[in-house]
Amino acid sequence: MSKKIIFLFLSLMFLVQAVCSASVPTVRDFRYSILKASADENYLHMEIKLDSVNQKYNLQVNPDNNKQLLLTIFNTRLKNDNLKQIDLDGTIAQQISFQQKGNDIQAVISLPYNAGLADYKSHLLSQERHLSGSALTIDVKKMPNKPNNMSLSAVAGHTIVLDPGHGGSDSGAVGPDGIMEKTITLAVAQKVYNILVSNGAAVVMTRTTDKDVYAPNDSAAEELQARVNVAEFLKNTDIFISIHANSFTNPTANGTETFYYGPSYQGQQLASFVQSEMIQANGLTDRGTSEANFYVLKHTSMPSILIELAFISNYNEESLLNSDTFQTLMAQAICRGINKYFQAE
Amino acid sequence: MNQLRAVLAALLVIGLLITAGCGTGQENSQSEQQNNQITANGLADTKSKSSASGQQLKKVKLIIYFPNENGEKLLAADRTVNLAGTDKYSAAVNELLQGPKKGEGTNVIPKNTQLLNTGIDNAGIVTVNFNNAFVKNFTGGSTGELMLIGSIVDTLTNFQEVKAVRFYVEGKPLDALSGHMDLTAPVTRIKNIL
Ligand SMILES: [Zn+2]
Repeated sequence: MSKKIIFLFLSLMFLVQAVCSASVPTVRDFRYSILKASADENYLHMEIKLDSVNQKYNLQVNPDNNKQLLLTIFNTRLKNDNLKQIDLDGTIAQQISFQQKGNDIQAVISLPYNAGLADYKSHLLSQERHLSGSALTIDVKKMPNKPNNMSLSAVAGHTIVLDPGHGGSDSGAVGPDGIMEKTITLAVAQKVYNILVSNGAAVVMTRTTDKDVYAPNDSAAEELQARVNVAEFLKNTDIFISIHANSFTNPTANGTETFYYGPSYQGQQLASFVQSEMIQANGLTDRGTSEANFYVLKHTSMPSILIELAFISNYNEESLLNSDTFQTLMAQAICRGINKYFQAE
Repeated sequence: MNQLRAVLAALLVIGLLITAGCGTGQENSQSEQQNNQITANGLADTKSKSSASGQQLKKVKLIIYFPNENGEKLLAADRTVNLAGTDKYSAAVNELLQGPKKGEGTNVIPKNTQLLNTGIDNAGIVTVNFNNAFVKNFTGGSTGELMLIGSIVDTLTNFQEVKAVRFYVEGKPLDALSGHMDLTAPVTRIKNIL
């Protein structure tokens, strides 16, 4: 009698355990295809079959490797051993490799280019009402490398003041790897300068070397007023553009943002043209355009904007900011935005 | 036999309970709460109580702000502070200096910042005077500045009589923090980050 009860109890426990382990979600299958985004543009479409619904996952640029996208599927097991490593098309992405990392699956998508140039989206398609699982889809597109000699006819004849943020005794924000904001802002401003000048604009920079515009160790307000003065003392400055790299106490903060001064409608227009070109080019988080009580915006009398390219305090964006490819990409985007602004005028 | 049935039924119930308890380990991530409310500080719930020691306790409810994780906006947090031996502006700023509790957002206060004093004039301009660490240990960025200055200004302008905030460091007016915001004039409530 008591043996019977123990036996029943044990088999019941076994059953319970079987039910429990069956509920750990698994990755069942993977497939990919190359689809047309437009006549001359392809994208890579990947589908990962899961037997769970509402699966939690995360897709981001690998903070430790700029040429990889990192997909983490939380609390999931790899069911099919054939999925460990799969070659992809080779142009948009080289390979995806799945790996069990503790309770999660990590899939590394390796790219033959810097991930800053990758336009990627992910969606979870759940089959309704069934427990038959879901499909995680990832689309990756390589953004076209725009040629260096850009034709921007609308900037010709306009006077533009470029202000590379910080400089000299003021390094601006400093990234986790020691990259300084003042170095990035000058490099990007010089690229913007070259493109605008070659398209016939009259361009003046508030500084062209690593120096304070007013004087070394000047007060912050003196320094900012000196930059404003460059634009105000010129006869017909059309627009003023200050270039910065952002920073925040939380190192995960990320994205691109453009500021303008509230009462200026033209400033707002300029900000949104430049912002949308930058986002199209870099694919980073779009923090949008915002009005802000910034010194150089408030005290300049012409339409003015302050660009925050990306976060130097974010490890991944710091290395993007420091790369020549990304700087060129951003400079070109800023110039396209300026051109659109003058076109619309 | 009846006894066996009873035991079996009990085991079945236990089994079902265990099965129900074995989750898939998928927790829903808590979505960040947005908070757009603008409430006057220090108006509601001002009570005076006598503590056991006979000392006057003046408790006031405050709404203070901390930035969200990505530095896009401020999240409101409630505090109840004791105004014995301090003023309400200092109490509010000191709550900010202590930083957010879990789930209230991220810390933006430069290391070792101390509030030296606060004051208010007839025009409703509050002055806040910090030690040198406020500038020296600030790590920069438009977003960092907006969130730091914004959390202080928006917390203080929750008091109905406060119109704007002027910043001081070691008794000297602060005109700019790290090269972005214009602090030469008193800063009015920054609404677009609430
Ligand atoms: Zn800056």
